Amino acid sequence: MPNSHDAMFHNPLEGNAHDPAPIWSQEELSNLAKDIAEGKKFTATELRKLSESKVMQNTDVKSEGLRQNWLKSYKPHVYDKMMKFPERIANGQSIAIIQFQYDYLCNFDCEHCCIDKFYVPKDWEKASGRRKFELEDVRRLSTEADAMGLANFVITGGEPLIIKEYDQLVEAIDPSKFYLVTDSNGWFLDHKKAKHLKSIGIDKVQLSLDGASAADHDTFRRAPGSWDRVMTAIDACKEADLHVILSTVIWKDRIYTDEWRNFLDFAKSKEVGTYVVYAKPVGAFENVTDQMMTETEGKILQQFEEEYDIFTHMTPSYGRDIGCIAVKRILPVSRYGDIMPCPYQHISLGNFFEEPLAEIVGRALNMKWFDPRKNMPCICGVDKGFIENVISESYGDSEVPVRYDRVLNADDFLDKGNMGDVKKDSGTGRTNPTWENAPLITVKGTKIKPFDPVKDSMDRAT
Amino acid sequence: MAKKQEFVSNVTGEEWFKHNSKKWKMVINQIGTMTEDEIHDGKNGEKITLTKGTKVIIDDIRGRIKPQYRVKDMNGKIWFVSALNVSIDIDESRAPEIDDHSYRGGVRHDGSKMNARYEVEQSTEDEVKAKR
Repeated sequence: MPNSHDAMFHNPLEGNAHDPAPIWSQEELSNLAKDIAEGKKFTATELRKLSESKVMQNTDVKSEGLRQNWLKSYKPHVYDKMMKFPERIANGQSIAIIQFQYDYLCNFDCEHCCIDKFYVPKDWEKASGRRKFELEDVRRLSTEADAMGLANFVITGGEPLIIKEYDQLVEAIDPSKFYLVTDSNGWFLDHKKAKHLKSIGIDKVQLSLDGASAADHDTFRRAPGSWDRVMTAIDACKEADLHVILSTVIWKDRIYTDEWRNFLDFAKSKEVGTYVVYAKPVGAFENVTDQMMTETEGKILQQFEEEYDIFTHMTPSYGRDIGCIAVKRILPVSRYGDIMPCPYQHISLGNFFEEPLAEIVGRALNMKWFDPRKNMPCICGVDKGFIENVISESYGDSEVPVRYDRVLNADDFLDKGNMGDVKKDSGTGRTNPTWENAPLITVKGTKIKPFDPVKDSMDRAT
Repeated sequence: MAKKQEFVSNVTGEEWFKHNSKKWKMVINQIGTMTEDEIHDGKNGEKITLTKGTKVIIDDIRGRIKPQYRVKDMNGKIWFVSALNVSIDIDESRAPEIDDHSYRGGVRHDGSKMNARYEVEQSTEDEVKAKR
């Protein structure tokens, strides 16, 4: 079964005749799909009718056409940016989702929390003089990301819904500029809250759920009653016409259990897609290496993708298989301004309070590990060279995130003229067979721009 | 006293309970004693041990689920150890020393300042207050 992630913008405005949006009859839908396929230009009234048709409550692939129309109607600027994604990929530019770790405060104590080491008690944070994001900084981040053509923002944490100034945060990001997603554990997400989120410009909610039964989920999340709250939250989001998906953690043993199958059946019965997160040996799960997914489990998961509406960070999106999404499709930003390649790579590529976002991203795309031309495997999950030479430096007694110039040397860069604080003579002759052997990213119907590492290194950032 | 809430992991079998960390003012710059051996990864795959009974100075805190203290041992080596493995007899004469601390992003870089490209006039708290 094609999943909703894969289908998003794969065929722009193709629509689907089977969409069950409630205010449209089957005949109307068929006509609508035909009109969309033929490239009909809709009037403002028609677009409004579309947008009021509760399209966001349908989460399956069949609803993508309508959701795109909703986006075109209500967030035309975001829609325009997304339509340029294939071109950006072809030009070796990032189409990253800004994963904004605005606050690490959380009401849960999940056993796999990957960000626990970033948490600092609030009063100590202030006393120690750490610079954190203020609302004015958020506005600047939003402006710079928008100027780079980025179109997605995810507010994550911690638990975003306990942020006191959450509404002001959303306003500072500016919902008109981004497809705006909030992560949540669902604890505070009742019907009233869901309606409020919708009213302030949130488009999608990603709810954490780690079990088909309350016992499994509540134990993993160490929060009795949390499974029931997620059930309420799913219904509340649907009723408020928020796009809702589940997010679940997969580890080696789980994939072989009946519980996993039960979970997928459960998600299917609720008609929600599921983002499957690989457990990584970082944060509170540091050293739990025996439960990491291997290539075998990855293949098994791909089989499940055929049967269920699930996707992982490695699932092709926007119709393009770009492999590892680090920097290219995801860009975590820490509370303290550090820009990281991936939520599980605790490496600082630079700090937003020191350099513009475009410069940091331009330099990162100049690193072989994040080469925008190459279809790399999940480097922090399976690449021994990356784990031993780079990621392991962020384990144990290291302060995180570890700055790039401590773990990378000149051998890791394509253009030796854009290495930031890495010294030109720092190379040790280390090779990168993963990068050397990785196939080029394929972009259907679009020829990848010939690559000039010197000329392109800054172009790619903007 | 409320019963300590405990969880046994379905994944690792680890028993876990919710910790209550001490307030930073009671911890920073205090001298603590290791109550357990802490075995860490050193260079080139070797294991290094901060042994039980070692005196350490606490100079930073991180983590909430698994709270850790950043400590210095007698040789000035920095370790991150479980807050549960350090016993502290609070010495009120040892006031927290924070003036020498500086951070680059989320990371401690004593003695080196962040290269700030711009500053903001108001903190979020001030801005929200002003709007009310």
